[in-house]
Amino acid sequence: MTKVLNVASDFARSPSGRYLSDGPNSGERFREELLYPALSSDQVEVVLDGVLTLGSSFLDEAFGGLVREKGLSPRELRNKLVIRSRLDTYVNKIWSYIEDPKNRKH
Amino acid sequence: MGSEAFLQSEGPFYKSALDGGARCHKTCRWRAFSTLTAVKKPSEDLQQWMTRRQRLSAARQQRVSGVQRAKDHKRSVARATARAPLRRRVPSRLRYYARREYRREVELFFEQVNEILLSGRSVLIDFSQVERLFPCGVLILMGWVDEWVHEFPGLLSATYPKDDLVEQMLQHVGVLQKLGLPPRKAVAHDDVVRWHYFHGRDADATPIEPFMLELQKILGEEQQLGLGNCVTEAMINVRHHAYGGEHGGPWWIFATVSKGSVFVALHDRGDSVPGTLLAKPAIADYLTGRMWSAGRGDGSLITAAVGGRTRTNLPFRGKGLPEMLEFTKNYPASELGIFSRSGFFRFDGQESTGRLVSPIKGTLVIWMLKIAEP
Repeated sequence: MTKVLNVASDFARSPSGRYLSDGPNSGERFREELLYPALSSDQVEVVLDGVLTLGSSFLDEAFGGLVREKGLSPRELRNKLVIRSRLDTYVNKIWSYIEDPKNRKH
Repeated sequence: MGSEAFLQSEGPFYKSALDGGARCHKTCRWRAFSTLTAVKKPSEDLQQWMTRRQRLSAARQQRVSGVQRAKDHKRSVARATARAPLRRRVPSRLRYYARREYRREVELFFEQVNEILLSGRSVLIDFSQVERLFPCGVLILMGWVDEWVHEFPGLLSATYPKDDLVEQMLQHVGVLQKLGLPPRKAVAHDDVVRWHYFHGRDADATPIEPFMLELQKILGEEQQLGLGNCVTEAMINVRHHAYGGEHGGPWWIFATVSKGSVFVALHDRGDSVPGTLLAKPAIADYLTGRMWSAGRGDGSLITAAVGGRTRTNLPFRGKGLPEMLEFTKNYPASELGIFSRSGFFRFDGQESTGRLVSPIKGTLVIWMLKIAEP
């Protein structure tokens, strides 16, 4: 079963910030409240279209944090996670954060 | 004791003697004398002498009390003057991102007001001569006013500007209201309403959504998203580096978009870029053998934080400023200016740095992009 997460409608139109202390729409909150719980499904599709901001701190904490903080492997995420966006730049950016070797030290 | 001998004493007593001694209340000796001895009528000369003496005495008392009155008056004037606020005129052009002499004029105004407030005196900020406002100057003004109102409650007042546009703008951003002047204009002028003004304490981008939506209409999704990301990352920089505490600290943003150009100015009054860089132990290697005291290297430190020509590859100050610089380089004729502590960095096709005569509290980022509409 595929779970669809639309960032703009399910979370915030202007996601921003890395940690919970940065504000209500931070990457940490998105990961902890929506993304990580959704990964219990067979597959998760994250839709980025419709957002007004998508800063690197948010993306790194939300997606890179799955490896760094939750201990998921990039290979596992490649099998489970699908990122959809009209702008490929952001899809590539997210996978670069997930596969960043620095994440695996933790 | 004879009457003459007594009459040589002070005048008022003599007057009492002439009245029969009934009013004497100074000495029992006179009372006894006056009741027991018939007073010989003083001669004409003596009476005149006594009258003159009395007048002289009265005149001397008047002189003394006049001096006292003058002293009292002087003291009360001094007290009233001390209570009256000192008037300080805001420069006619409130501009910071400008040539040194313009910037110096604005710096001096803020320094003077701050020094007066620190001395305990009150200040009347006189906006009457302001003819033009620039977003960089208004942001600095708002930072100072917020700080003064918080630290010196009741010591600040202001006059309304004479210029209608200036008043609308200062009312639009709430400066006049903070200084105790009720709003009296309908804010409707295009040159005022086209400016978005945001103020916050954390890195939440929700307040800037109206600006982002306007940008999206003009620039399209991709450019808007890229620009919005730079702004939010700069806000995160402020949250993480300028204000390290749990509750963050205030920042102010001015932004506008018009045909082919975007302007964003961001100001915070937290720790400076050079200050936060120097606080990092690993930066010591980078600084070896250089002079960084008294702010001499601040421009170079800002350049390092931005990832300019002195790139260190150390992620010391977040991604916001480097992303802004990269974004700026993609658009010819665009500019990025960063003022922090005693230095500044500027990119307008070429990188340059400089030193400020008067250090700025916190950081001011000025971003001007020339963007071709899709």
